[in-house]
Amino acid sequence: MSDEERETRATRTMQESRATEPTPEELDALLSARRDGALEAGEAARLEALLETSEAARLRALELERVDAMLRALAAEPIPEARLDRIEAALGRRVAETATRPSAARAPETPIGEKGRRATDDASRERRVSRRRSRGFGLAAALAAGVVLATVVWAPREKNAVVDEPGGQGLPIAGTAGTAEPATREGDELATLGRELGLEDASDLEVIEELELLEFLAARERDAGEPQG
Amino acid sequence: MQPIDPDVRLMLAFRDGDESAFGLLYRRWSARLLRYLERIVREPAVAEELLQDAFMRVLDARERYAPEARFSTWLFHIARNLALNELARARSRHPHLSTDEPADRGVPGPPQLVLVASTPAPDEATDARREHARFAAALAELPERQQTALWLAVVEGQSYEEIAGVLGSSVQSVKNLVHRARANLADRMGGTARTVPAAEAKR
Repeated sequence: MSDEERETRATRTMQESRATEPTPEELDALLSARRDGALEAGEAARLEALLETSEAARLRALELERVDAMLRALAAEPIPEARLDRIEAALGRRVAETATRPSAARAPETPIGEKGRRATDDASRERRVSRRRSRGFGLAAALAAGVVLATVVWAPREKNAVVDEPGGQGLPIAGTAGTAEPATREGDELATLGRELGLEDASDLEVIEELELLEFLAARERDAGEPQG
Repeated sequence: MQPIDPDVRLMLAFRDGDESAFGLLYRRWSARLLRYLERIVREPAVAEELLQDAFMRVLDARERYAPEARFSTWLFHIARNLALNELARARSRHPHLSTDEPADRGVPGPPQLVLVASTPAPDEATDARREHARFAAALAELPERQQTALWLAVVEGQSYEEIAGVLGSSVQSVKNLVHRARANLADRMGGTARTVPAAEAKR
């Protein structure tokens, strides 16, 4: 029996039992969908009623919650900066080999939006994120140049450009759960900006990434003569 | 129509000739994709190669790119296909290995997990690391589709519809995969509440 057939059978079984008490399998399905915000209204009411009365159901809900927490923790393990450097360099060489079309394009030096300006004017923050900023722009350079100067384009970044990398473990990166940076004024500012952007639990670098994206898109809109907002 | 997904807008900018958009896309997605690929192929060096391959595919698709889904859906779809091809190649090299049981492939996990296999010290940090490693091993035991579905739902926050786009399956299938993955992991991590609630619900 194929996976699809097993899944179809499981779905049918679940639907047939819906009118009766939840089986353990169905309870797991309901709790799982609840965690993903994918419960239908009727299912949600039924599950909440069950959680009101069943200690075991509540315990199972906690077990599934713990699974998600552990998975997020696993996904938040930092990747050493040197490793990312090595991968980027290898990709850059491949990109440079592929890029045969010379172009005048380069990383934009455009004014940034108000939110971006507030975040990026601070010189110390610039230092802190300078390594992070350099990642990726080498790719653009390699594409733009379309030459074999990969060893120049992909020269290692200045190691002393980083001031906030305890233990040389590298900065946290997008998708991580955040960093153990000390609370600072600039950290507070970034947190405030993050909230304004709807990034309630984002790390500083995730906020900076979002600001970079906004900056880029705002520049694109200006270039295209489109109204902003 | 103006695409809503900012990454799609980046990709369109790249298609239209803005090279810096490719760098931004790489910066935004490379680490996340690498973590996913490591979990699937379980060999760090291979995951690194596949990450490069995925972005080379993005580069190759530049001129013909047409947004049909969120950029992340497209990117993970590319990465997963590359990973499955790699697993198939590994299986052909070692026919006794199964794609559905990656833990049996005999390849090492990410290096940071190897460190915690040493003799445990009686402190909470060590206990946490051991638990972490145990969870990673349990995750690796899951079939690839369950791993991918759960990873995209929990870590990437993708909707069932988006995950269905990555897996090439139905939304209901994704829903089942995610719940089975969660339940399997809870059970393997020592879950005890699974068999009781139906009886309790009668009360």
